[in-house]
Amino acid sequence: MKSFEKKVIIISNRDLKHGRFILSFSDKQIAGAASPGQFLMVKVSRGLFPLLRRPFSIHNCSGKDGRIDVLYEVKGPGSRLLSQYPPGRVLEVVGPLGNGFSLPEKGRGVILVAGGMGAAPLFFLASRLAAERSKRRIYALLGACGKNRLCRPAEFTAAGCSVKLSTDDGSCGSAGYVSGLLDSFLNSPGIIPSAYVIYACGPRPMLQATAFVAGKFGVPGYCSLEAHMACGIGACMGCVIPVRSEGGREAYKRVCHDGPVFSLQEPDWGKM
Amino acid sequence: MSRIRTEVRIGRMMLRTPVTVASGTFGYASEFSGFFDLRILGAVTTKTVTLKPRRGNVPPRTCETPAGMLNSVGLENPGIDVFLKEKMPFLAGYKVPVIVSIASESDNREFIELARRLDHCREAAAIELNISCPNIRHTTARPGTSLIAQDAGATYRLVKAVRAVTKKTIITKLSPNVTDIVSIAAAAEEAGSDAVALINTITGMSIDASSRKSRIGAVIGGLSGPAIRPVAVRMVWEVSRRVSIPVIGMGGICDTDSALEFLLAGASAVAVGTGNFLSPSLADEIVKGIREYMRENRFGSVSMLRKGMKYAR
Ligand SMILES: Cc1cc2nc3c(=O)[nH]c(=O)nc-3n(C[C@H](O)[C@H](O)[C@H](O)COP(=O)(O)OP(=O)(O)OC[C@H]3O[C@@H](n4cnc5c(N)ncnc54)[C@H](O)[C@@H]3O)c2cc1C
Ligand SMILES: Cc1cc2nc3c(=O)[nH]c(=O)nc-3n(C[C@H](O)[C@H](O)[C@H](O)COP(=O)(O)O)c2cc1C
Ligand code: FES
Repeated sequence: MKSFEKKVIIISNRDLKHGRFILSFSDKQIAGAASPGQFLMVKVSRGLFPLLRRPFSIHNCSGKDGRIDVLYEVKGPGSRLLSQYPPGRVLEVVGPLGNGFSLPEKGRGVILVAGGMGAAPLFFLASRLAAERSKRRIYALLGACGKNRLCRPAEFTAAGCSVKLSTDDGSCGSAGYVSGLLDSFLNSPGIIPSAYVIYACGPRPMLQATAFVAGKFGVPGYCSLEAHMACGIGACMGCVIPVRSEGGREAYKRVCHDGPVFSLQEPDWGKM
Repeated sequence: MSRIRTEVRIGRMMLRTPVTVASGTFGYASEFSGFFDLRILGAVTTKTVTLKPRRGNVPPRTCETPAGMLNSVGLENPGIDVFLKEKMPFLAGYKVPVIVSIASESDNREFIELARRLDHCREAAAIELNISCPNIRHTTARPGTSLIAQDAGATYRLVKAVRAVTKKTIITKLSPNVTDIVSIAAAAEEAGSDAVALINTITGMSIDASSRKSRIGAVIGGLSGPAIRPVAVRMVWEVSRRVSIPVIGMGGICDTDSALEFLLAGASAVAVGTGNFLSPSLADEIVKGIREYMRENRFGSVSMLRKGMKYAR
């Protein structure tokens, strides 16, 4: 696993509306090393505020020139600054970092479960799987609080996924949480849960609910977690989450280095 | 100008360049080895290790503050056995001196036991006594204080006891959370410490008004980064003038100029801490920057640089 510290040039930083942006740059080394689920530490300022880099998932990698997309939402000062950077500006990034998703075995169906911006890293996985050109079934279950918050359903469809939507307020797709959509999907006739693997990303309560549903149906799966990160490379011990370890002993693991992808059953959800 | 000598001696240890890294901000070095050639460093300082493994504090353990950050990691580490077996061999592969930072959770006996173990370890060039971690509580310090480094007597006794069991270079890491850091540094020197390192983090807090909770799990944490630099430079300046052992300066170094502040204030070497998070190759940049500055300003050695501060206008 090789990571690079690079200065890249922003190719585009497009406003997708509703506080979302997609930023693109090219770097052959980072793109060549990147796998779905990995992330970048991005320097969002030139000065001392904000001081720390911000972690963002790799949303997609494509083409011979090593084009990398980052899909992000304006949440606070760091992401706001990022959204103001024009094409041509130099951006300092470190990556790819962390352990990405273990790719599914041949023939196994895939269910992507995204809560809000959780769709960001799952899209890279979807496009990698699409590039396999196999007969694998890929479902993308995308959830959000409302219609405007749904994340790139058309792009998931274009990448070959069967897309199902849910919104908390019922403004689009089925009403309720995306974990509920997963539950009813796994219950639907003709679906053999054990023939699938789940890849989930989103807010922690949504992932916990997803882990519960996956456990109920005996479907294996993975989730990508977020945590406050200072270094992003496993050095500061800052980004830990409680996990269930062998022998039931309590332990912590670093999201940046041991994750961000964990098996759905590994985090100690009750203690988070 | 003739050759520029960047070497500095700290105890029995020779540093090729006056730059090391701050314990706890550089992991066990392997995390950074892909970003620059570690051999350019004067020494590597490893994350504080304890006798037994420590789980550390509850998350969240870090948060950002103006020009700095708070951490309440709580010395999570795998314990000395795993450290020696799994972390040291990697470091031994590099020809760079290793400063092993140690701490105890309870009393001096743990420090002594750790020092004894490291005395036998060929790869350990120096032992740094972390008596200043704000994230653990200590029982041997005077009531009302929680750190050995807040008590000159306790500092003296500990350094003396460790000195008795090891010939390795001893560096005592001091806390800024004191009224008179010079008296603590003097106690360490008198007890036989080969050097002092300062500063550790300044205790701090940050509250999120919307949730009304502390931004870090342990409520109180240690402040680091550029925000603490003026305090650190002042303390390094005061201590350097009053003790004759070398001072390793740190606190908010984030570029060459900020590293130079410490050397000009009298430090023999500097440590890059939180700066490693801002750019993983920062220490490399600073090593080169200091050399460049020495050449441009005709400082032939680090000891000349240390005396280079001007006072009159
Ligand atoms: C592995 C990983 C991948 C991520 N991928 C994406 C992505 O693809 N797209 C996206 O929009 N967001 C992503 N995030 C979240 C993103 O990092 C935060 O939204 C961003 O750091 C907010 O910074 P800010 O300065 O704008 O806001 P702040 O005001 O600093 O914070 C806003 C919110 O972001 C959280 N946050 C702040 N700093 C950090 C940090 N250093 N690490 C983690 N969370 C933080 C805060 O808890 C708060 O909830 C990811 C986070 C992680 C850990
Ligand atoms: C995340 C983090 C972990 C730290 N862990 C340790 C540690 O284990 N032992 C120690 O002596 N100091 C530790 N420190 C303190 C640093 O070594 C250093 O003294 C302090 O951060 C000031 O320098 P800086 O502002 O350059 O970071 C830690 C600091 C940070 C930010
Ligand atoms: S962010 Fe530093 S260890 Fe994960």
